[in-house]
Amino acid sequence: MLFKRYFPQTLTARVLFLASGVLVVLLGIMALVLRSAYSDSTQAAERAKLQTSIYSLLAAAEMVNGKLVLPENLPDTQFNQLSSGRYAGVLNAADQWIWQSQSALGQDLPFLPQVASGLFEFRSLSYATQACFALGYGTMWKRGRKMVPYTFWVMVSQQSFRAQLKTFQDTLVRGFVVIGCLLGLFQLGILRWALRPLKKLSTAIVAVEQGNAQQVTGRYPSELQQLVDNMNQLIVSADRQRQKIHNTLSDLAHSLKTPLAVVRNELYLSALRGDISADHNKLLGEQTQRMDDIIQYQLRKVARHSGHHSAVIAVKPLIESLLASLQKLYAVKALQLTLMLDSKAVFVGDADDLYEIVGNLLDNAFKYAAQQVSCYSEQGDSLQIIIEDDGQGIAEDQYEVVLQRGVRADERVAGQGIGLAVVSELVASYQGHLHLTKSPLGGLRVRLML
Amino acid sequence: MRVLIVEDDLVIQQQLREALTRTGYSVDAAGDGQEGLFLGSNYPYDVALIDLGLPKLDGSSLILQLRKRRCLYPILILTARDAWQEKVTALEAGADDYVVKPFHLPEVLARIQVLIRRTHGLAQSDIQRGPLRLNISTQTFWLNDQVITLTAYEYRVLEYLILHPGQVISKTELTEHIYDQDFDRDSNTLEVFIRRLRKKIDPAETLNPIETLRGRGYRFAL
Repeated sequence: MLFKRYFPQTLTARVLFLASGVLVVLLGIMALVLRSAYSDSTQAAERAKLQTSIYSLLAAAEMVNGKLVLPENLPDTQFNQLSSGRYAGVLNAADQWIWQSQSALGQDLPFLPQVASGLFEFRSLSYATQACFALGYGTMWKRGRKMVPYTFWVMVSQQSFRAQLKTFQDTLVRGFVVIGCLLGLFQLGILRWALRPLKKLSTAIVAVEQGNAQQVTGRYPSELQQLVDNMNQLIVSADRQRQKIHNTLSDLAHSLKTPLAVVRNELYLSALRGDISADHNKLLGEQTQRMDDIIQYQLRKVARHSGHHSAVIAVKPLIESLLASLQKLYAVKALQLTLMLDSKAVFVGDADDLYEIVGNLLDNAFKYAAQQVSCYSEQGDSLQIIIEDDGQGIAEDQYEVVLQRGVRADERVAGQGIGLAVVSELVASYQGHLHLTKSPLGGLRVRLML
Repeated sequence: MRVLIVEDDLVIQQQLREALTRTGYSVDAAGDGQEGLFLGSNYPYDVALIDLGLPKLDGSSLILQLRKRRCLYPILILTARDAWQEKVTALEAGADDYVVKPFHLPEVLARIQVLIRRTHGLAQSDIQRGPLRLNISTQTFWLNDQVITLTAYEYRVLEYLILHPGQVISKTELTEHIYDQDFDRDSNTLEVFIRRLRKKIDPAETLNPIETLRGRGYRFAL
């Protein structure tokens, strides 16, 4: 759980996180291998130097009166200086040091074993509080008729070796840090380049989601193109499904309304013919009205949940076509129209919904206006439409009531028009706002924000 | 007044026919768009009721075709689909008004009255011509504020003549507007109606509101 919480959530961060981890481990292993190789190589060089020293000691040693003697001053001056860090000694068959260099004067050489004649032995040890490399060589000297074994040991402090190794190590770390950073940056660049189609795809999907595009457009790498094609098929399929639901509902409305119209008309005609009592007529009339209200309410409810078919709709021509129709319907009233319509105003959503919203609001304005109707639209951060009339208006304490949503159709207050409630429900489904105020013209002012 | 109903649901069609006939209209009816187009473009109707969802030729296309053929009488749409976009489409095609199913017959009758009034430039249902007054909504006629009872055909003749004041109306035109297509027409009957009307609306024979123009027809002259 904790791992999941702190694990990077973006694809770039995940790849970078894992790749950087692998890079650090690989560079670490490489550093260890290189350090080890350098250490071995430097050790071999130290051993070779010690071997040369042994050869020079062998060359300087001679048997005098049955005793192996070495000169006081050796050619390698470091053997002659006290505590120089380079020491030498000769071990006899009884494991006794029979000679030691002046550099080790006053100090006991460490216990070292004898080495078989003709062989070298290399080891690491601690001497005079220092870590040292020691090389021993076994040899036989003729003393009279006997061959006597001696072991020549040469030691050198590891100080120089360690200093070299540290310098190498520091250079290696610096170099690898630089290489690691460069590789990291390179990797980030590659990732960004490789993931660019994903970013493009994300932008295209947002465009579809916001209704700025019907499909995911553009060419993508073959790995993504298949996904894009499938996504587009899914969008088409979802649109068809939505359209199918819409059509089914529409057909349902048609098929239910026609028989309801027959019943209602028959009631009216029966009353005219005197075939039905006034009480029965009233009762059946109320029930058919109730059935009609319930059908309307349920249809609106289902339509609201069947989703919007989003597209970018130009608002001005839509309002103009509605106004042309309403002027025809209310021609007798000869209303004076004041229009200020922003030609750039757009609505992102379902054209049918905008028709319903603006159509109902304008219809109310035309219905209740005495002489004037004004319509104003503007595109800012959101779409704003203001519709006003000079009619009777609505009492301020009724604003909330007429906009009340979710009221069951069969419980609706008698005489309350359903137009504003329909508009209110639709506007809410787009997270829009509807404000009712008193218009300076005298009637109702409806401000719509979408 | 002669009304055309284009409605594929035969029960609704019959109900509309009955309601309109009871109100005093002569009615022709068609069950599909093509038949509606034939009737609508060949007979002089005063108003047409057209359902939008019609077989063979849909309501909007039918209205468009009628308007293209210069049929200028008002058209009232009957529709079950009450979406604004569909209303706008039908109104843009040439319809004048709409009623949404399930409609109330009195509402349909009232809308027809409004359309007829609008066509004849009348602001109200009452038409006053001298001492004569006609209310096309209640189909009541007054002479000097006295209600005069008229038969359905007498009313139709008088209404048509009053709505076309000063115009010469031929017998054929008058016949076509007061009878439906299935009626057995006889020009002598029309003359009988006119004679009876004159006696009822001008018993003193001082006004002479309906003039006879020999070989041309009749003219309402008040």
